[in-house]
Amino acid sequence: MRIDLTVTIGGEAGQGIQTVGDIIARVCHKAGLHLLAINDFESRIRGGHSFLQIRISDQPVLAPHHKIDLLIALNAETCALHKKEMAENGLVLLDVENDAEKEDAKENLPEEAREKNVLPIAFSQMAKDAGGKIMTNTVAAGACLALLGAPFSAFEQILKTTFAEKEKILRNNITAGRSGFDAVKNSDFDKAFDWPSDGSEKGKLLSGSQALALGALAADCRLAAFYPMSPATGIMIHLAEMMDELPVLVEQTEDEISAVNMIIGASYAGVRSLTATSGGGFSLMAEGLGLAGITETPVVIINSQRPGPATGLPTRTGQGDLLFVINASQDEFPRFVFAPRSVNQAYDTMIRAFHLSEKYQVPAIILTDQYFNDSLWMTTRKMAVPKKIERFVTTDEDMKSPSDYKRFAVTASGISPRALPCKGRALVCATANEHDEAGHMSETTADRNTMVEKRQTKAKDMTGEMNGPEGYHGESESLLVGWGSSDGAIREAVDLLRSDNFDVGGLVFSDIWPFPRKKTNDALSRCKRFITVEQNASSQLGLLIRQQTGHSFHTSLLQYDGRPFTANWIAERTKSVLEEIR
Amino acid sequence: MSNTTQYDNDYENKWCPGCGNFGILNAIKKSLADMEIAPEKILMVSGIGQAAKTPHFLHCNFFHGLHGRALPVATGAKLADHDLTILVNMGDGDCYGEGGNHLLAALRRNINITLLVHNNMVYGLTKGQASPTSRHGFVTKAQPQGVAYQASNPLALALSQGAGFLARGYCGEIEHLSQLISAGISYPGFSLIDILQVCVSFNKENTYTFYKDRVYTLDKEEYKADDMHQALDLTMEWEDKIPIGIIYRKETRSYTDELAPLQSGPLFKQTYDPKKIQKAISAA
Ligand SMILES: Cc1ncc(C[n+]2csc(CCOP(=O)(O)OP(=O)(O)O)c2C)c(N)n1
Ligand code: SF4
Ligand SMILES: [Mg+2]
Repeated sequence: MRIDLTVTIGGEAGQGIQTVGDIIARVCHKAGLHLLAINDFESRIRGGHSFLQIRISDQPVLAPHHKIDLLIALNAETCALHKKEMAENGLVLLDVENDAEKEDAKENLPEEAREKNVLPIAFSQMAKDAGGKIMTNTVAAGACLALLGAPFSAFEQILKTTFAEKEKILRNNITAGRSGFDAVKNSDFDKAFDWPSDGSEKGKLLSGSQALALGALAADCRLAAFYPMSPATGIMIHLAEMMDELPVLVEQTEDEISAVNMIIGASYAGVRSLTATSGGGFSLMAEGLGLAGITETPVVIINSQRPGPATGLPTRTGQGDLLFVINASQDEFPRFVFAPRSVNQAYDTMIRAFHLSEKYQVPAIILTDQYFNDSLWMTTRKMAVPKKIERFVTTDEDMKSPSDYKRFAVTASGISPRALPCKGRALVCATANEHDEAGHMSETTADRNTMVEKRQTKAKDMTGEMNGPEGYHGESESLLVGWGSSDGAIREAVDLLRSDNFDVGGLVFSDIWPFPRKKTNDALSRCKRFITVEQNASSQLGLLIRQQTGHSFHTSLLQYDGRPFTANWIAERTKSVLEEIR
Repeated sequence: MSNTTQYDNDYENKWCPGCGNFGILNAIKKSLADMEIAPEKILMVSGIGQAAKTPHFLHCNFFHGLHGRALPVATGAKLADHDLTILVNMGDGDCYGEGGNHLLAALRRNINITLLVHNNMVYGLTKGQASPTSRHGFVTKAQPQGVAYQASNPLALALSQGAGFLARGYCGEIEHLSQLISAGISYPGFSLIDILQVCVSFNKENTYTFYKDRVYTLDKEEYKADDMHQALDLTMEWEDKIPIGIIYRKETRSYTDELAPLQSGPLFKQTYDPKKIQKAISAA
């Protein structure tokens, strides 16, 4: 049997949607199921409409689904808003004030939601009876899990770990959960499945933010400076949680300009350092990025994208910053840009970004997005920690004459031996001005040309470090080309299209800059056409591919409404494109 | 006699003859020599402007960063390795204008860094526009009718923000200034030394004569610098009499002493422990 169903929990911000979702996700995860939970919320703390959507399967979940099988509506508005997305035979659990209101509840629903399969349940009344309205979420989770066919014991186990330290609270929650569980006993739900009995976890369940934070720790990041901005803040919160155990300091700065300059100072003084922000903060960091460029100071900057320009859609997702981060800051200097495709790859990319940034003494930028950061994903392999961290620094002992040390000495590779200040007799002099080899300001043509060429020289070896795009049925006639977090939706779309006999494959980039030109040429040379799939309005990756390889995209499928891709959206549009050609 | 020549280098100086920055440079050398801090043990951090070029004219480690942004760089370096001795040079535009927000944060953060503001009340490097400390009415090419803003009072501002060590120096009193710098370096928290600096090229008002007529030294015996209200009164003195010396000093604990992750030593010196990290990852 194949399990594939989607549960959506919707309501106002502040109603505890997250709690219901967390419990359901963890019960499923523990049972050995695969899942992906996406978070959709407005930029407000209370009110409005938010939802959490969990897709549960016995196969790895690549992307959210466009249909809802079970909707838990914590308010009537939720029914109306999600009506169009309900799957055939989908079921709605609607929270009503009390049993007496049940009869009226359907009546009171917006007309278009009324004919749906709606089951009114007095979640909050049951919670009150069990000890407090606050447990409404537990009641709702209980009802949902019962409909899915979960044994109560699995639910109880998760409640026990959630409320481990508070006995009375735990007892009340179990009572509340039980009443929710029992309330739907006699209801039928088409998509109920045989709950896996010998469940073993199929991977770790963690958010994109968490994967990035863990990667930073494994990379020996010691200082993380940031100014809060959605959707990047979560990364720093996860790092801050580690401050007790590991040698890492999280510093909330006065602004993003400070954050980027602070990590440059820390890196210059010898520790690996990180900042994370979104496009607005990254804009403020542009000059600092150039400072890292000209002083050849390694730093790692995460830009978790949200739609812009300016404040844009603060809590939503997008891929509009690709060309911006490649080009940000005046004039030219080499940099790395990575856009991880999965939580495992994000973890690995952090380790790689710190390593390469220090190896080449250049800034490394990691592009993620709200969808990636805020969703709960499952890992597909172990997150291994490097045994040793190679630092690429030099000390007095490595030098013939430390007093003659020159921080920007010209070398064949463009990489100068990097000493750290106040660690020996070698003086380490760096400046934002153009400079000579010793790090003193210089305006001579000779020094200017030498330094520009020295910095640019690195780009060649840096390109050699870059992986090409990853193919999925990459030998196909038509290729869907994308980058970063859209990987899963593109793969699933390819599967859908292939099952409908379309000769379609996927090609997804995660190493963006320096552009892996040759590897891209090779990957594209075999297809008849390629279609870019991106979350921006001009197909930025498509433009970059054309600029770098001369290959032009046939057309592009662009979505910029701030919501994540679904495979269905991509597949339907691809079909129209291909059918037109036929 | 202290040996200041160890801080000399042969890099060509780029200031105008007669510039007040020379006095400040000499006072820095004097202080470092008095405190017996070897050139390789100092880290100078600066922003952009004439003042911010100072580290280039010293034999030392330095990071000459962006306009306005020296304090975050210095803070990052100090957080990375709080054993470092860090001095920051900024201009008045650099520090009180472009980098104003960083100054406010630095005052509250109270990290052990010594900030020297070369306050010439004008933008020197960009050829004479008004700075935050230019007086109301100060005429420049960019403000031909005179500055219509009120001049900022950085010392009063700093005091109101909880500054722990505040001093004013004068580029014409090198020995005195060097003692202020030494006191700032010895102070365990953030120290701000605003230095009256003559710009012979673009500020024809705040000249050596102007200061000679007004500057007076606070008597260490008489003025204890431990009363905030008295200090505030001093920061308001300007027209006829301008006090120099330590304006305010309070007992303090440095930021790096407050932070739990730094209590087992500087971040730089702590060890990478893959086993511990793997454990943390497994528990996540
Ligand atoms: C972001 C940025 N804006 C403007 C400048 C141009 N600029 C360089 S120095 C300076 C002001 C210098 O005045 P001040 O900080 O008082 O230093 P001084 O030269 O007087 O010592 C300005 C505006 C710059 N380098 N960077
Ligand atoms: S312009 Fe003024 S501050 Fe700059 S070097 Fe000349 S005198 Fe000194
Ligand atoms: Mg100035």
